[in-house]
Amino acid sequence: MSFPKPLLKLIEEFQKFPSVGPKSAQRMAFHVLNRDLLHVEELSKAILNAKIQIKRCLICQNLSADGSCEICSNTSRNTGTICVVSEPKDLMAIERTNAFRGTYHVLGGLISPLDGIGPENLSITELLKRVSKNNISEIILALDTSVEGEATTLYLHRILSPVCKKITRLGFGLPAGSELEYADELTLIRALETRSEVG
Amino acid sequence: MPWHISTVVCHNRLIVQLNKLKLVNYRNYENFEGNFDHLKTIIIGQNAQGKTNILEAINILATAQSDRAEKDSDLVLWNKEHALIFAMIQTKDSELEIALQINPSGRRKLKINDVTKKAPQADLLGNFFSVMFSCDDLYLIKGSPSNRRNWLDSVIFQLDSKYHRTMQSYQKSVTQKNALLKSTRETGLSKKSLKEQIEVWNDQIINSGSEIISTRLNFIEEIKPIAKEFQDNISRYTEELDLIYKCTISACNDKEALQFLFKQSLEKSFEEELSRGQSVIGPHRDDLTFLINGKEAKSFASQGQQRSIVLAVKLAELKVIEKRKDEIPVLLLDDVFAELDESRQDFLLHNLPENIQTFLTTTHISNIQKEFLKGAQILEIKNGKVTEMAKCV
Repeated sequence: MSFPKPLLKLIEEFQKFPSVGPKSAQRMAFHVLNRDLLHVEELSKAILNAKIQIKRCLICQNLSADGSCEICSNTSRNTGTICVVSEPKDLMAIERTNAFRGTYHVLGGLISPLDGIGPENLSITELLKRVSKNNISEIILALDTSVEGEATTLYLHRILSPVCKKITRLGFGLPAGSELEYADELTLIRALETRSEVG
Repeated sequence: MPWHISTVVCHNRLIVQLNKLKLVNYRNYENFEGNFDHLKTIIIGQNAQGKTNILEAINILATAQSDRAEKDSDLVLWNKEHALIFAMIQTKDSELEIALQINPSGRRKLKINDVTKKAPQADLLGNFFSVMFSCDDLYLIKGSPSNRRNWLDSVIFQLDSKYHRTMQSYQKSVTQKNALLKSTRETGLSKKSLKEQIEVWNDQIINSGSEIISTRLNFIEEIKPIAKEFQDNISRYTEELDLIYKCTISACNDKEALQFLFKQSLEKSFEEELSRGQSVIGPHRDDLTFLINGKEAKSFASQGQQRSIVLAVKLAELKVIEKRKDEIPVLLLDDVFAELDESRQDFLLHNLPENIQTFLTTTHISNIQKEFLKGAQILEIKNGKVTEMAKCV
């Protein structure tokens, strides 16, 4: 015998979530069944509200509930520096450091022909517009060091160098507080290549 | 140093490198357990009983890849969630417990001495070394370029763990570029913007690709004189062996010059790549040529000569690994004795290091020389089940 249809449907839907397998999906579905109706209503409302209310910031394409996001509407941020990231979660990672006071631009992915993502599917036109309209002194490319991240970095460098004088990328090196012997060869080689003078 | 001096004797028993191998849901084995305390293990069985699967699993521990399976799902017993290869290995200076879990999806998990490793492929390499010599290798000369590339790569993976990472990123860049080349037929991208996009992949292909080429060139330079010497001895100085790396770009050993030539070749072949919808230049298209007395062995060497070449190359492979890693690799002989005549069998046996651990599969014990059987452990395989036969004295 199998589960009743509505339950099967719920399991199937949960299974579409990233990193959720059949067993986790089943656990999540049973969790929903075991909770009060009130809680479940709240959950479904939260899902709907998030989907309806969350929009893209008109300036940087970050997530926002209004026209422009919290960072872009903050007047104390340095609008002359743009840090380009792939996804909002990367933006959050840099924000958590409290070490960057400029603004961001969220691409919405990385160039990957295999997944059908070309430059035209990323918010590159918006970025170009932003750079040509405003006085931008530096663009920091903060993308993954994967093959796709590297391709996107190279592509953006080509596109942006006519319109912006200073284009930088994040440094390569050893993870902070780590032991040297545990670093993989590639990280070590890059750390050697980008070594700096002491002091 | 002569081979026998490095032999380690402990409690009157030789210490073998691979002490224990356990396979769970691997190929046709639901559960295989082998304890090895002899230098020679002979695996006997009819065809299609799973003899080679054991050697394949051992080889995966050294090279992180199967020499036969196209994808990991081929390695997992039908309908099982994952396969497990568990091994206990005694290296020169440590004891390793390796557990490799293989999922049909291609995801792997690796634990070494109970510590989960981040990169299951790259972190597996460099712990344990093997040389696989199977009857399929006899087609190394006659076979397709991909056979020869796979052989080159599987040896270099063991020697240089960085090579594996470089290869991975190279292959990824090529796959992405191919996808882009193919998609242009549908998307109708303008040539200018296509070229812009192709170039970002080419930049990375040049970087990792030229590293692959120069690593391969160095390896060939290293193995060539050793293989040549073996070939001289097999043929009593009548056949002079030469190995040449056949590169789709003009190969040279200077990093900057190589990158420049690579870039040039890619620019030249842009139109061709576009019309064929795939990358046609780079180490993924390179080949290796074997020459005998200056003539290409592929077209001119006899069956017997080809066997000699493969034998010489395999023995040289063993020496290179031993020299570079200061550790004698485990030798995996898959059904080769049936294919080698007596003089070549003799040559093989007499040119092996004395204390090398060897696994050998055969259908009939009569295929094997008596001398080799001495002190060997014999396992009989029937349908994925093992019975241990009395040890030969």
